[in-house]
Amino acid sequence: MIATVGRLLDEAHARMWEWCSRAGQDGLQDDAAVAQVLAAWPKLAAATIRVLEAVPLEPRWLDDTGSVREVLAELATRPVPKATRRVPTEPEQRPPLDKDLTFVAGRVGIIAELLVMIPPAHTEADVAALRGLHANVVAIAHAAATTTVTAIEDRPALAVTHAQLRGLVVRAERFAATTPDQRAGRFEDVAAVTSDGSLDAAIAGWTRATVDLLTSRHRVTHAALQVAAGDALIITAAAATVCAAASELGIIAAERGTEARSALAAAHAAWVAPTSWPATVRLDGVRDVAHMHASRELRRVITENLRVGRAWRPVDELATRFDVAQLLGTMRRGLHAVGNVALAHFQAVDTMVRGPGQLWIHAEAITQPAYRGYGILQASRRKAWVPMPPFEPAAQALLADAKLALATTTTAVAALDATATSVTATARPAAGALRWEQGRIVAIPAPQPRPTYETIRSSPPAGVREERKAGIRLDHRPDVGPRR
Amino acid sequence: MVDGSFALAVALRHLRDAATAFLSADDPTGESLFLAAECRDLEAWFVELGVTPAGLEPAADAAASLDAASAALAAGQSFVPLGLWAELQSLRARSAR
Repeated sequence: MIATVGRLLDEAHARMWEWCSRAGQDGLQDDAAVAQVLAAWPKLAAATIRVLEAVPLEPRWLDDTGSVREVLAELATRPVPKATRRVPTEPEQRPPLDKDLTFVAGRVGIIAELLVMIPPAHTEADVAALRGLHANVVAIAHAAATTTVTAIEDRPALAVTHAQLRGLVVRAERFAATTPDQRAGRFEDVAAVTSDGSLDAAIAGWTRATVDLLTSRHRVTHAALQVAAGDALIITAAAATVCAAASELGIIAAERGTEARSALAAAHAAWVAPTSWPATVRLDGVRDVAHMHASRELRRVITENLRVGRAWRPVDELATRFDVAQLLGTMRRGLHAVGNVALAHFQAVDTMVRGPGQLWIHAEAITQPAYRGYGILQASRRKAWVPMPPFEPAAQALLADAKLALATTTTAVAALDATATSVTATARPAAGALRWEQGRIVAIPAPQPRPTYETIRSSPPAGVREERKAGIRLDHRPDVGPRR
Repeated sequence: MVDGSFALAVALRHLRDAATAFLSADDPTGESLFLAAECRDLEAWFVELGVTPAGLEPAADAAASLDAASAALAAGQSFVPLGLWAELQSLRARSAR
């Protein structure tokens, strides 16, 4: 089973929910239990901070987790307080950590590890997904803080910790009160992929081998570029098939499914041209065995899993054989892989087209009159190949095709990511403490009272108008007046 | 006996035509994508051997192109790697199914 961020969040939320329920019954009256909880807090706070800082936001987006991070940092660095004045806790006799909070902190820490290589969020979809992820993680800290605050509020020795946790509850409530629908996003698909023969593993292996080959100036060939484009075609077709199945099964919103399929169709169409280079242009070289094996493995695994006979598996078979929501997650990861390959493909073609002596063209195929000199005519008669002249339309067409494939793939990645949000909008229940919704903890915020006064004045304060009417003369020495 | 390099050049041209025909086919099952990818795999053999495609008129369809490629390779049998021959026959069988 692949560890995804979504699965880790499920486990962390479920465990925290159980812990809150038990604490609600027992009340955490025991000093030793309180000490264990407090001892585990720095770990949970540190792990939560790591998740909040794992994926950077581009500067144009507002990072609104600063206030939560501030109080979490205090909790993470503060030494473990004594549970009571009666039971002194020496540094060498620190209490054991609470098992549930430690488990949750461990899961949150793994999430941070998985997210650490993600590039900065720059699109609106990225930012929405990131805010959802933050809400999911902060909701855990909020639930833990709410329960701990209740447990320690009658202990004067823990007044400072109580104040900090209370501060966390207040600052985190806004995040914790968001619904699971608002929190869903593509970051829940981020996974730790192992080489276990799965589709994820095949895609990961193919991406590694392909990007490695295409970014090597000495190993890349036109055949390798064509094969990479052909594989991208197959992955986009597979993603469209799974997206259509998920849409039909009601796993994703029909509207988003339609948009994603349309974007995938455009990307699919754009990859056809890079798969078929003109016969008059070439770049030879030795076959890369690793790339060839990875490409064949990818096709084999897709055929075994998603195809039956000569066609894609029907929707009902896909639903029987797979968890289609998770399969769609795999396809999202797959399309991100195609995005990486599209970038490497474009850069490789760009280097070839602009670099001197990279590509070869059949002498007869040169169209620019400036280059059809005596040497080229001789070569043309011998049916020889010559280095591609600059700005030759055949090469420019290759570059334009690669650019279009990259652009449409980027659009398709964003459209498929948008299907990561859930379909059903849930009605908001009455105010309370915490509730369980779609496998996530959600806090019910207290109703906000209507403001009784205006905090922003629409008119300038008194005195400003008079000052404007009587402007200050800069060339006039001010009269000597009474000192104030 | 046909010149070996010419036979390979003819076969490569037919193989490329077959791939293009597979890619341009209106095939909702997606099978043609996999067949085109296999054509590209085979093409890599030729690229490694330094073969450039001959200038020919394309055959009627993908299957005819594959048959023509096979005939060209059969004509230059002594120059053709056995693995290439076997993979081409396997591809022909799969496309004929």
